[in-house]
Amino acid sequence: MIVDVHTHLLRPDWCVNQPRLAGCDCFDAAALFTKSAAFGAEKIIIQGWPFVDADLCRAQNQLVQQAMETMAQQVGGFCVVCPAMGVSALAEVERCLDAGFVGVGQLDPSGQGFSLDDPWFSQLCDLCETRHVPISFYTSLSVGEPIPGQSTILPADWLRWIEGRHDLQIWLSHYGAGLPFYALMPEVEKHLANVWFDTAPDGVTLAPQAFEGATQCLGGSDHLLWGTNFPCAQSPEPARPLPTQWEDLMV
Amino acid sequence: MKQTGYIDAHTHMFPDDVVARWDWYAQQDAWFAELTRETPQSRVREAFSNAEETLALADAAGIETVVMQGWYWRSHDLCKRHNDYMYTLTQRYPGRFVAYGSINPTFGTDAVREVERCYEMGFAGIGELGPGGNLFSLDDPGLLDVLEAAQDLHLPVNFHVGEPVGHQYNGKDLTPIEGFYDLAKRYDKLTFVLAHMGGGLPFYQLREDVAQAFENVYYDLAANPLLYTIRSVRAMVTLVGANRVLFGSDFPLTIYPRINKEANFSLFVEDLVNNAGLSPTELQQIMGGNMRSLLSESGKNRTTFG
Repeated sequence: MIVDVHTHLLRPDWCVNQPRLAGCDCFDAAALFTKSAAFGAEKIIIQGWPFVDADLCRAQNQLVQQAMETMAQQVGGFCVVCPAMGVSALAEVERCLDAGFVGVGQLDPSGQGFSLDDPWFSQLCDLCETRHVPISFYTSLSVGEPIPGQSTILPADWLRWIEGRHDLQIWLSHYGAGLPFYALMPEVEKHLANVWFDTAPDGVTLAPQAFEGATQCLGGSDHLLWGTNFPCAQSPEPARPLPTQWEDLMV
Repeated sequence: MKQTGYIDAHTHMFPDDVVARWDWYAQQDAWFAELTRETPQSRVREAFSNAEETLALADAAGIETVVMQGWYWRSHDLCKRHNDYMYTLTQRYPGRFVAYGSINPTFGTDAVREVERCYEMGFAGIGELGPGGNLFSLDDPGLLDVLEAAQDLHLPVNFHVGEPVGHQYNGKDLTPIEGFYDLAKRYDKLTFVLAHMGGGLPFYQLREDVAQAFENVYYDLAANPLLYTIRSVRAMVTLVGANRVLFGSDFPLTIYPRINKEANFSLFVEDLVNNAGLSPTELQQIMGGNMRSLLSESGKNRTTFG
């Protein structure tokens, strides 16, 4: 099955003064699905936008939940919180997962202002482990011209954190800040068994060999997930079927 | 010697005196000591080799030309003495040894003058520059002056580039790799050779803006077996193209420490030929063709290697 694992459903007023959201052109789930389906998607996963404000996170989750209810066959959702919300973030995630969300994310440590060592964030990760759901993160390929909202978390930061989280399903968007390259190092590769990378473009055009290059770095495509970043990007990579391991979760 | 046309773009040759009086040089230069000290626990060793031994080993591996990278001595005087030594080898064995100049950019105008002297001696480039070893950042004014001079003199610059992740080892250079993008943009007529597979920079060339800025960037494979799996070579070719990858070994470093403790070229050559999954055309490019083209465009003697 072909699943676009990285889309966003936003309200028009959220896009005002947001450089990362410039060019967004569809604001309802049906239009979003149609746009992705034109590239081959049979289902879309809507990622939450990493707001800092708790009310906006809840509003985002309600929007996604409505889409999941009205388009149950075509739409799955990830719920978003800001870990700094503390216990209420944990409660919101519990509520969302009970309501049928299939993951948590995408979170953005630098954009939402939390550390990978933050205790509340650690509890959130524990919850994801307990509920057996993936958690997704915004990352940036940090070499080159600055991207609006670019993440400041570098591969070494991610890897240090990943090494302590072997039982968590970790999903790094936008080719994981370049971390796939370092899977060519045996001592790094052994820590990436529970890490997946999506192929969504993020403000820059990627070379046509991106998927093949990442596949060779990772020693196979089992840990790559096709995503478009619609409606926040216009030039996705060719659609790829979902790795078998993810089908039960996403379908 | 096998007729292969292979060129090793990244080796280090040391004056006999450095080998004979290692203790004295180690006292002068802590970074040299850290990288070359042998202890009973040493897994990897700098297996110093003189010119004749090196050429015999190169012959056995089918390597026609050995490109000597300079050493990142902290003393400007030691850089000059190392350059004098490499010059004698290029004169004694023309075509077999080619030199890149030892330069410590923190010496300002003296460093620039040494770049010019290397050019006059017929060197094919400068480097391997070591930001970590020589304690300079990628926006250091001294470095920028050196790069400006190298660009004017058509001298490619080889940089030691460390990986920001992975195991720790003596001499690991944690200079942030992001800065090479600014350098490549700023010096768009200068050829860069980023050693040790550029510390992961090939992956970032998937970005269109980085690929454009890196049009003059090559990557060498020095010490690859110590750092990466052999499939990394195939991945490099996919990420940046076979025309941007240079065979380099880091000779006489023992890069297969589990099976070999002595200076050797053949093990890596055989690994690349047999296990890297390269086509004959890609092998020809990586093992010598790309470096031959680069040498033909470099320094005072450009076209000699045409």
